[in-house]
Amino acid sequence: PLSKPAQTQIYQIRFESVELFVNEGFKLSKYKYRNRSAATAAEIRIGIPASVLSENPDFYLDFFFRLLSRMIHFVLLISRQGKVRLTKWYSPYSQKERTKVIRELGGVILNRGPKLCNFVDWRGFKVVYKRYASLYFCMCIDQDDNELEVLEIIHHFVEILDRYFGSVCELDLIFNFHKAYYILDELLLAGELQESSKKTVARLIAAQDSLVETAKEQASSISNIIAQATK
Amino acid sequence: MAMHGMRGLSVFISDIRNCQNKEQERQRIDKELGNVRNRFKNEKGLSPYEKKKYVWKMLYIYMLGYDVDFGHMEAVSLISAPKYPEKQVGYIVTSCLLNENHDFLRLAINTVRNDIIGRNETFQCLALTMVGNIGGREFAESLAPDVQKLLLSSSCRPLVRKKAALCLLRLYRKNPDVVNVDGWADRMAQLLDERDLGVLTSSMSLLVALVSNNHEAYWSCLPKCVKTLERLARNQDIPQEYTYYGIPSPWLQVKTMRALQYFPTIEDPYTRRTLFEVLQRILMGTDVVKNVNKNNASHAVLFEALALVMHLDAEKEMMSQCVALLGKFIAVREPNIRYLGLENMTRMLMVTDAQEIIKRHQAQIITSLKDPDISIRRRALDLLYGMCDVTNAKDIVEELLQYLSSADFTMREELSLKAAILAEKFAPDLSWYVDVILQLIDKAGDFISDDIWFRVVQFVTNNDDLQPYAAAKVKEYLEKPAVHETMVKVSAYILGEYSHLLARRPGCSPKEIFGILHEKLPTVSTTTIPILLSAYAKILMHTQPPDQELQSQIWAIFNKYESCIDAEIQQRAVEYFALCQKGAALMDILAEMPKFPERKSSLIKRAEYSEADTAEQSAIKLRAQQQPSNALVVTDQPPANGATSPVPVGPLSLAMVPSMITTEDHTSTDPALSQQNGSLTKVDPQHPSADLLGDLLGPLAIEGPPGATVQSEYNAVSRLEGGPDAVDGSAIVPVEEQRNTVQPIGNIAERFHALCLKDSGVLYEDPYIQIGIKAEWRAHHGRLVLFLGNKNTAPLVSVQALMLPPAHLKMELSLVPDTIPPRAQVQCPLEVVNLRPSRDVAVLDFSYKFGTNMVNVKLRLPAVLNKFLQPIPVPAEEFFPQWRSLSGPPLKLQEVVRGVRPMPLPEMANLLNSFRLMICPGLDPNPNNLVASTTFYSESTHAMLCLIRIETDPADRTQLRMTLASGDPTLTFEYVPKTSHEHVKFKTLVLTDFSHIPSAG
Repeated sequence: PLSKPAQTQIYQIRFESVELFVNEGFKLSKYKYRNRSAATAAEIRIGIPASVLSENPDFYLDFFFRLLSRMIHFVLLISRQGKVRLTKWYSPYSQKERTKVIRELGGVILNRGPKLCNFVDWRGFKVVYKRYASLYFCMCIDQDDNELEVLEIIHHFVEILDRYFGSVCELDLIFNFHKAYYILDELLLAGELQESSKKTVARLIAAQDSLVETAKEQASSISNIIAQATK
Repeated sequence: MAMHGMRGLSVFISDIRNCQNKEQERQRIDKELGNVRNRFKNEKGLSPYEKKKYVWKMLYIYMLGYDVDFGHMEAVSLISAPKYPEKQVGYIVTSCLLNENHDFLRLAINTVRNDIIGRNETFQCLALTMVGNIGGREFAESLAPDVQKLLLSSSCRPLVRKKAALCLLRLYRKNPDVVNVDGWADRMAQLLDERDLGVLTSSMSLLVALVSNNHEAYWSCLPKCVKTLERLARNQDIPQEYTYYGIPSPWLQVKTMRALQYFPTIEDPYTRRTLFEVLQRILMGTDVVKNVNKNNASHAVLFEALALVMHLDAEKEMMSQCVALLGKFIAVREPNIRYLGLENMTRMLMVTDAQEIIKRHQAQIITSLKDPDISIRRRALDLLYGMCDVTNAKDIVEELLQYLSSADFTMREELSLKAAILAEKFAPDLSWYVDVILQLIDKAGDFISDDIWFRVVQFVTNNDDLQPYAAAKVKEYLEKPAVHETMVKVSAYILGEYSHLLARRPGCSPKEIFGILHEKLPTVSTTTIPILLSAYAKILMHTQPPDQELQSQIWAIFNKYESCIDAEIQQRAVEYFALCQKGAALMDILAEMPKFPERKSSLIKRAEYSEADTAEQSAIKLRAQQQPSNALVVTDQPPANGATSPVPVGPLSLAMVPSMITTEDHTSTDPALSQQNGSLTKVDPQHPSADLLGDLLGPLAIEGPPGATVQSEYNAVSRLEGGPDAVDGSAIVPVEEQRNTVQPIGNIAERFHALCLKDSGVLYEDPYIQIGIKAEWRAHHGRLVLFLGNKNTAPLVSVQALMLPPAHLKMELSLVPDTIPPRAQVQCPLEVVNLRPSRDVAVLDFSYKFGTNMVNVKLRLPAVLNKFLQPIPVPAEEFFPQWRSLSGPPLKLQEVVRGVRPMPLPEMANLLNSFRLMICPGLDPNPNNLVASTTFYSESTHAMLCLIRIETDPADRTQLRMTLASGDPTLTFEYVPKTSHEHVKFKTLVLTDFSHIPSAG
């Protein structure tokens, strides 16, 4: 039988990245151009220029394995005015890169008209986004990841927020941004979906809340005791 | 809803929101940062509540995009707080503020570990979450065993275990050694029996990462994945909370199918059948429904199923079902589905047979090229590019051209490059190709790189029929009011060379042509002026009878530029002016440019090696991948469809063939004459821009006087005739061993000679390593695979392989690993392209270390000349005319060889066969003689016929006379393939660089 296409593709991804690994480490420049976009991606994700990376092959091993994984690289919530409401980075980006990514993507996504598709090509990655009222929810994934799956992760997240806040609006997320982080941490981990049951997420968040409440009550009751004792 | 608000935080956020402008916001934030900084300084007075509040404020400020360069320590220190609320804030803020490369994280490893191995499950969750989100290599090394324990523990609740699974995934990505393959495969399989779907989802993600790196180890997981998928697809025993809009966890379905795509195939018939039933059900049972989310979720599953079907190389029927579905998708209104339909069709192009079915949808795809959504337009462009072939190139390229005028600026470059490549690769005829490129230059001149117009010039020069057409065409463009500079360049070149062919047409007198060209001169840059000057000189030369007025006009221009500051312009002006004084002699000096050697398009090369950032996974890449990539290690499989011809042979290259074989003369190319006028190179009207120029004008016919080349090559020949060991002595790099205490097994030279005659065998062997070789040859291309086998139980290290190719071979050796594991064999593909005939031999400089032994050998590679021969039968009615037309040296060479080992004629015929010469029986009336024919391939000569006659003397079999003839008269090169057992010398004539000969006549 002829070689299987999808399999071929996987092998190529695998070996091209090894080449790149070897290339930078051993300075075989002829592979450089073939992997130009991959190198750019590596630079973006690791946040350090390739020239620096070549001095530290550990990073390349790291990059190599990241290339094999298909994951959510970051989550971004921006308002229609371009204000950031939440960011979560699952791949390492330096502060500078984070700012740059937000600025660039804001420009691309906020300018897209309605009734267009929910996917944007961006620097060799794909950004899946969806607008809910005044907020854009964006997730950055790899080229060959499943776009619709991620689109529904976004919706799943929104439904969980909705259930927690009771018809969530942008203001809820502004004043309770820490809550949004708690919830996101129950939904996604390591750039992967962690829990697909809304009920389970809700239960876990409620449990956390009550832990915090209990701690607070305890604290206040102790302070009561102290206050009474010092009287 | 339990809101435990923090007043201070809310007030701060309100303040920020109330800021009227950026400046106010900045002031408010600076004030807050100062406040927080002060409070952290006197940390003693801070209550846990305050600390929490300030850390949150820092995160908020950070999120707004301000630099927060302090307080990281405080955030990290909250992690070790004893109480849940503080710990929670510490973990979450730390994982938002810092990334894995941050030094502070190192300080927290111990605390984090204590939380993970502690008994408090809420603390475990917090720690696992942070490590899973930002843990780096150090975390991987110190925490992986503990995380694995949690994942496998029967006493842990699902909420901990699912986090442990994903945390382990993160650690594995950071350092794959943390998961021990041997022990882990069984545990992974057990994890797939998990009842809790949350844990199962996380475990499946972990599995995807593991199998993507090493599928062999996880075979036992395959049937379990199929079972899980079946259970989900049939909605058996799925708790209500895990269905999403009525669909049993679409995410888990997608993940499971993704994992399955990493297994190369499914052998077990039962599992395979089950899987195909499930896939069939998904393909057929997914309907479009009103609810957007349900639709998205079910289509997410469907698209993943499509990918899996493509991967499994399912039966034809199922494949056509897939294409039919995609065809439906690209026509729907829903933009997401349309986008994905196009994207997946592009992927589908990789599958055998799909291309024909996809072509049926061409009209619809072209419509998508005009979609309002740029994302969709990009996918349509990729797909059109990928599906283009000879049958539809005209339609597709014309659509691309039309779209070019309205395309977004961001897409134009990609678009024009793709159109140019397609036009070149698949042009139905050359005039169309010229039309397309001129249109491209006209519409998107800024994006037309020099190599594109160089290429047009090459084609026009090499095809006489095309010249008047091209000249007339460029004249039309030049008459337009605004013309791109690239258009001026190409027009000046073509009109200079060929405008005289139009002279009888109205408006095309030399004077008028000059007028049109000269009008552009004030608008162009210094790189274009030299081309214009050359054109003027040529126009002047072609003006018969001479036109005094035109002459004085042009001379005036040359005069003017004689003092130009640009050296190139100045030199041309001076030289042309001087040449013009020569009168009739001008005719020879400024003769038409000779044909260019046929070569691979630099454009196509470029497409293979680079991709635009914007379209990484574009069809350009797919196309490049269709060609056998040397990155592929699985060599026994034949390449996928479409990969059979490593160099695309479109009609363009076919159109070239006649001009190579025909022998008509071109005016001034008499070698003697060119020699006289050595300065002719100056006529080349190109600006000297390094490598682009190199591509177009590289081995240009008049570069050096061919006569001289012949001379020197003759010398080379006579030198080589020194003795029977000539080949060994002069094979450029003698085989030698340096510092080697390790003795090779067998005779390296013998092995080499044996491999010169066959395509696989052992190249080198010593006690530690065996290097085998396997080769495939097609025309001037060769593909070798080196098999490096470690014969020991210890690894070979510092393995290095360096190719030292001779000038006439282009060689590309794929990566050779630094270490060869014990008893392992590594395969390294090597691509060879024969640029021109030469008998130099490529050498592989190979070294490795075994223990303290450093071994270094230089091995000749059997990429020798006869590998590029292709036996071809020549019937008598063709043989004799050819033989006769190639009369005498240098077309035909004869030599008597003495001291040959006597052998019967049939044996000699066999020997010739093994050199890839085709014996033509019955052609020679003398039964003691042999006649053979073959074709020699190189990039510069292409197919070159070569005829051989060997006359033996029945009285004295130790000598024979050999006559060789070929279409290339300039050079004959001896080739003496010698095997040590057969002391026979053979002279095989081979021809050299076609480009150096003016004509074969």
